[in-house]
Amino acid sequence: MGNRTKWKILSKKMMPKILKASLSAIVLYFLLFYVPTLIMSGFIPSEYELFIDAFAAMVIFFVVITQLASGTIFQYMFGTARALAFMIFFIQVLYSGITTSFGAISIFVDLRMFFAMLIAIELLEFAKNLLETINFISATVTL
Amino acid sequence: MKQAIKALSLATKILWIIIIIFSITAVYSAASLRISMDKPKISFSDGIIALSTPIFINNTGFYEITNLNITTHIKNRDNKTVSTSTTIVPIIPSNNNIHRAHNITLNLKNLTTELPYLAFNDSVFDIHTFVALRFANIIPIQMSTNATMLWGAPLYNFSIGEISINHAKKRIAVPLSFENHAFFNINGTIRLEVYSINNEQISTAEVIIELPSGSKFEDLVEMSVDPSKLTHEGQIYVFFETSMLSVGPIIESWVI
Repeated sequence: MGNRTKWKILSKKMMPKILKASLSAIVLYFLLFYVPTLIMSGFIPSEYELFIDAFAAMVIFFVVITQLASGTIFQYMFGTARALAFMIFFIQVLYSGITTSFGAISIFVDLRMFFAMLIAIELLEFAKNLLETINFISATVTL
Repeated sequence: MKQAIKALSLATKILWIIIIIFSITAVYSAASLRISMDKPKISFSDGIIALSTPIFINNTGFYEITNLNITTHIKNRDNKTVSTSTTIVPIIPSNNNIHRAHNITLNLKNLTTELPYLAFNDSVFDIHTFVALRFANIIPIQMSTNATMLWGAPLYNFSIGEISINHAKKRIAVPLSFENHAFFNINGTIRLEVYSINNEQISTAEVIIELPSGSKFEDLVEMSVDPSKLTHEGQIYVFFETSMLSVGPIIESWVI
């Protein structure tokens, strides 16, 4: 098999993945960057905008990389890494709640319960991805 | 293993849908919550200043608000709490509204150590308001704000002028003056007791005062005196007895 044929097969396999990843990235960019900035900019305290940007960047990065690695073991490894990364993100950045002020009024919103639910979901995702990795390895070995 | 993976996938999908729906509806509910406060009503009685602020909360959202607690601390110039008022609303169901009055009381009689200072000097009270509530039963929210309340002294710039004696009429005249900077009217009496150098009471008098807020009191209080007890110097004791506060004795020396 020549280099040209290899490249053809690779591009045939990769092109749908790249397209899917690009489309997902565009949709997520609109949902996680554009819409919050457009609709909820008044609600989001300026000191937390960076966290929202970081969250959106993480989501887009992991979605794109998981799409590109789909069909390989890396898909599940990136899935596991994503669940772990989000758990750490929620624990480290937002565990203490949101404190902001509007003029003379200071507001504290305790979102620990909400983030505990998100962490619980990420734990399930983590377990699911681990099982999928093991399942993928066992299926490959059986074949 | 595939069944376990399927079950976990389904569980995470369902939980994500619940979280997303909850987030959207919670933001919508918080945005549609209407809180308004009417102009506070001030009332005075028996040394108690009561400030009643009507509060209207219209919860048009999807979630109930529970354990609403509005607490106001009034602190004096030494940062000591002189009054604490709390209003509790156990529950505001969704699509409901409530009317409540948050009553802040300041008992002047509790300011015993402060009262002589506050009676004669304008001051400032710090009002610290703290609002706590639980939104949708899982999100506690706390709000706090600080404000200042100016205190106008009811006996601002109180002074006793030069005492004069009319030996022929056996009377002494004591000029008194002060300004009512307080936001309440002063209704009561001023009692004067004049003592000789031997600490013997030589005269006493009582003046009725009705002084509106923001006005000045200036009067010459004439008192009959026993000339046999009269000395060249002595002391004068002034007592204020009003419905809002009692101050005295204010002791001043006099010389003829």
